[in-house]
Amino acid sequence: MKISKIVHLRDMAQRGKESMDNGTPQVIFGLATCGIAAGGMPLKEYAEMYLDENDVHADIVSVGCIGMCHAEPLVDIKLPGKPRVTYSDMDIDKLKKILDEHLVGEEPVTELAMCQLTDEISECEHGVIAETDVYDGIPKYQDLPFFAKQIRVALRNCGIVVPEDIEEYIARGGYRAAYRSLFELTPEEIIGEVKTSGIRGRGGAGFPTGLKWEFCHKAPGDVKYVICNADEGDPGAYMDRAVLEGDPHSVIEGMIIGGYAMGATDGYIYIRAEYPLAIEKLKKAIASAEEHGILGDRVFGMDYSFRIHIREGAGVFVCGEETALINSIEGKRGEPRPRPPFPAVSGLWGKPTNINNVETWANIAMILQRGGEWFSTMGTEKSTGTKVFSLVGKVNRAGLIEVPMGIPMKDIIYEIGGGIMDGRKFKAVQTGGPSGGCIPEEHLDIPVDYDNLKTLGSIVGSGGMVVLDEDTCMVDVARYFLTFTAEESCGKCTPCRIGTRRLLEILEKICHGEGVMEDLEVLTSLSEQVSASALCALGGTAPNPIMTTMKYFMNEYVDHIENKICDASVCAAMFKSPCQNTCPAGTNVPGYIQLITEGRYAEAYDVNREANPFPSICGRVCEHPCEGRCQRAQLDEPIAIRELKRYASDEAFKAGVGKISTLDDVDKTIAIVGGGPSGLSAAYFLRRMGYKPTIYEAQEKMGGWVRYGIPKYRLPHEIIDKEIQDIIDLGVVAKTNTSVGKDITMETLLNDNDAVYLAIGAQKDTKLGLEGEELPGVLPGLQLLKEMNSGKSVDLGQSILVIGGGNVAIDVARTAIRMGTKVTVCYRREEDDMPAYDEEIEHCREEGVEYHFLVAPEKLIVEGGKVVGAVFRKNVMGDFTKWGRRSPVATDETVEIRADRVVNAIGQQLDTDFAGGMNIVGDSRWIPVEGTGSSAWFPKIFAGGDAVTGPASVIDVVADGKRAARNIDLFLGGNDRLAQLEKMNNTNYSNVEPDNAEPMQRQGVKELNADDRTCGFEEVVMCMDPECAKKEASRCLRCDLSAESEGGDE
Amino acid sequence: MATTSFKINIVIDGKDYAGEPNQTVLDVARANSVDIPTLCFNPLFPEQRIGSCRLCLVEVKAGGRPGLQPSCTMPVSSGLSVSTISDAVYQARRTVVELLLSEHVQKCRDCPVSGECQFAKLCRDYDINGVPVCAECPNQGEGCLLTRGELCLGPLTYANCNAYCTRKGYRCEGCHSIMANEDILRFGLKAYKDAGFTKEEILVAAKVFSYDSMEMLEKIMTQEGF
Repeated sequence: MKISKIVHLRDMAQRGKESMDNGTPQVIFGLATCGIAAGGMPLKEYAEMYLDENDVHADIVSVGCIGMCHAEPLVDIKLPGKPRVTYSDMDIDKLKKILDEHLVGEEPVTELAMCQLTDEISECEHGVIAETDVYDGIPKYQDLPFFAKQIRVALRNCGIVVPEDIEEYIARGGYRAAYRSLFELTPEEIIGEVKTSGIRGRGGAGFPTGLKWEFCHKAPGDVKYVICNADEGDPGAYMDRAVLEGDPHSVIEGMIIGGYAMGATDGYIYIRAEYPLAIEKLKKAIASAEEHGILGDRVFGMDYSFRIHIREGAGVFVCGEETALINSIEGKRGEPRPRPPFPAVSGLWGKPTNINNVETWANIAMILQRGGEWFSTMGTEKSTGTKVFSLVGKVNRAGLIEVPMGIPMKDIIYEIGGGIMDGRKFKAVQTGGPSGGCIPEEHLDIPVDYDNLKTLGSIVGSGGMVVLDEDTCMVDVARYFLTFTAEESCGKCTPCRIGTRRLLEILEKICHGEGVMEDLEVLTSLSEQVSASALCALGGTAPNPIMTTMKYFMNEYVDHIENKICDASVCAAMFKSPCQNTCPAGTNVPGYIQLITEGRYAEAYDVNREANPFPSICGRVCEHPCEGRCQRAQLDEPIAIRELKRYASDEAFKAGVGKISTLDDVDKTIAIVGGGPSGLSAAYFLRRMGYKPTIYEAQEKMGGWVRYGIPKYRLPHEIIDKEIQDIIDLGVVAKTNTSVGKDITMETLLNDNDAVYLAIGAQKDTKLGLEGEELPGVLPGLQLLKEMNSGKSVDLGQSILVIGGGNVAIDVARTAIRMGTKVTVCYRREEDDMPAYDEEIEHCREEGVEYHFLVAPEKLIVEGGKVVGAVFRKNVMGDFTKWGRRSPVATDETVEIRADRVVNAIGQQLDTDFAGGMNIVGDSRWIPVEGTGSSAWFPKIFAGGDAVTGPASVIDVVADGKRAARNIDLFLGGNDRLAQLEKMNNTNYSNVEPDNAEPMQRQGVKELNADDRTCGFEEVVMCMDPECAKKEASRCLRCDLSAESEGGDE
Repeated sequence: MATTSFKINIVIDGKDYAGEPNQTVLDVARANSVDIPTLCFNPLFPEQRIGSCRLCLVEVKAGGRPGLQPSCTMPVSSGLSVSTISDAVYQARRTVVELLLSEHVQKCRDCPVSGECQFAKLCRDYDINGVPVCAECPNQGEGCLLTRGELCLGPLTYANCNAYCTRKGYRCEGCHSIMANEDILRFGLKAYKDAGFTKEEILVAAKVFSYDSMEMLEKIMTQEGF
């Protein structure tokens, strides 16, 4: 039937509505390319079989992508008159269950359901389900965080309608705008409407579409063309594909309106052949539009003819550039042409031509239908409307989203995207593909629009948004994109053809650890030159990834060049294995794990001891950042590196360990202030290098935080004693009960020694800042912990209230509960935000500690001159900050919690008493140091550990001590004696690449059960048994070997 | 009747020039002897405006999109003002020549256009070291000083002097020092072999201005079988 009257459209709309809700139950599959890739096809086949076998009457429908690519495969079930319910992450078993229970049994499976479609967030006509028919217990679409901030204009039909079904498209208001434009509006009025809307080209450059149309409209000529640019080639971008696969008619309608407004008779859709499904849907859509008289001769029976042709491109990135695209349609080599002449004057076959991106075309019908005014109310003043982004990379909820322009980047990443995967740290978001740039954390609160991203050096581009986490090396990112552009450069102009290759060579050199600092200057100047003088946008924007990464991540470039370090463990030439690279102390992890498999525990201990004097301590309390980078995690689970370390050291202690290698004596003395892990580590390495260190410790025993801060049930004191004694035995002088600043002054130390290392820790409690804090009943957390751990008797009363959420708070709580006290812990944020280790928070709960979250102390309750509790202000979590955490917002409610004692454990500070009259700290919070760790004002003084960085983990401060030892050696004129020491250890072990890629579970460790734990201070985590340890060690993939054999290639 | 086509006035480097409607900035500049270098522009087919070598870049100061634009494809328009000598133009052109040089084989002694080499001239104009003296020497081939038995260091030495000595018939003494590019040296050394000079003779001659490069030169000579 040919449509020529508005009643025809109404008829078809009626039929479309019926086809969407026609009294037959429907099983709806999301089968765009993403759904098929996720395994949707077999599910559909299964459903067909199921209906056949069970003789169930239902329709099976395939729709496009709704955007939730993270939850695919998606299957929806719609019963007549009821909301459509979406089930995510389907497999055959789950599918059978929902078919059984929901389709046949007519009861939705609430536990599997993700959401239900009641009234949509799409900006178009749709039916609303009556409130009474809405299912209980299943969230509505618009209530999901993924959809809550979205406004769907270009994606209005994607995932909702059957893409090629013209009736369904019309039922949702489709072709009404084209009909009205042709019958009621003049071309000038249409262009006026588009100009009013303020829409800018969605392909990347952001040129005002209305203006572009006007140029083409005014250009003289009888023959004109409109082109839809569907040559989408950015890595990580698939907006155009989703629109064409999910709703091809929206693009066709936009092109009809544009063609009419500009006087074009033919339209071309230039699409890459790599999108076969999109081409198929488009062809079907064009055919059915022709059949209904919407395309072809006499559109809608009017005196206007318009045809659409599809041109398949060979997947060349440069053909996304409009003049190269025109060349390609003409059958020439896809190379850009010089502009002027602009395509609006002389484009395809020399005729005036207008080119717009898929998404721009998809918006046009809505602009004409709802008015330019409506469109311009969305977004910001200069970037109106909505924009589709493909949010991919390391976010929890990857997918296709459409948001109003001007939405803060943090909302996209943290609210829609659900934050970073696996709790990793955000590093940057890459927008605009190879032409774009990387935006770092400090700019995450910018509203996303064309101009804002440009000021940051990036671009909106076609809408690719790749989220990068801490495992990404930014030099490698720049290298990756340059590889892409150098390969895709068409070769026409000199700067792009040769310039991108030279840039790439420099980046590769840096990634291989062969870079020099001068390279950075060349990179900068060559980047500027290439972008200023290239012929087209490909070359003009190709250096953007380099320029933005250099702007925001210069430290990584410098690290790669000067220190030959790739922190993210990506550039393989710079490290042996990711675990060793990640260990702050640089422990040879694959080495000692191999030694464990060979049963050589003492040697395994020695390999550990080369890098870190406390293998046994770290085997119990290390934060094990190494496990986070373990490559085994990509197969099954990371190796239990820490537990193996403990196993090796426990075994080695049984057998007895020998002496560690040392160098000849040097007659230079070094004073070390603080006998904690950092000071001891510095003393250990300095002594081994031959220097004569003396440690000054204020407490009775050495060990500092490790002894006084970590409870015995986590770290028995025998272990600490043993490892410290080994250091003393090397010839380190330890002066305990000597407080620097009181018993001996800094000046004396400075005069009597060749260098001083300050490792004094963060020993003071941060004050609550509340009235009554000095009264009895309030206990400072650090001091309390110190007293409890040194075995002094403390009076905790019947119950205590711990304020804070860090490790101190948790350690106090766990120690107190072992003393038979009732413990309540109050924290001002949510549990996930607690800085304490996750496993300890859980242990703590198991042991009976009561938690209160989202409460901030406001007043101490004082009765009879004694504090007996506190009044807390209840918080709720507010919006995300750019750092990816929600900030607590105070409410009107308060809550009163009483206890015999209140423990303040909200934070730690530097105790500056040591300095006496010397200005070592200045106004800083921590001791300010230069890059080498030497004091900003006294070159002879070095500092490290908590006193410099704030509270840090054991392995971090051990590494600080080691670094200080090396720098002190260099300062005193040594010839990098640490490197000589490292060369001395040549323990041999088998270097045969293991064949162990078969999945094998990580071996667990046994823990005391909670009841046994609270009765005493016995170590909670038990050592692995020998069989487990051997098994676990044999899981190691020996990444160190592959790195060597590959010779550092990527 | 003779048509008096109307003129379009443009400004190049602060001076007024008149151009015809269909001319480009390059056309007007060339017609008025304003120097704009080109490589891809072919005067035999002036209508083929390729715009690919990017040497003819000029900086638009007014009357057009600001920034660097190729003059060979830019039509004249009234009010247009461009600079051919600004810093940005110089740097951009220099980068283009440098980039081309980075991929150039530089077998200057075998190249038919040596002595008249446009590229060598560009290197000199934009102060780039990288081509040997031979590229600028008109005496190559039969007139080469080496074939006449003089130990000329031209094949091994950085150019940019317009081959002043060899033009006058004196041998090149290598005062711009021996080149750092091993491939060029290797190629240049072949000429000495053909002319029958020994390793020692060459080293003694080269040592005068290039003491630091002796080790490298000696190494390459050994590899080349001197």
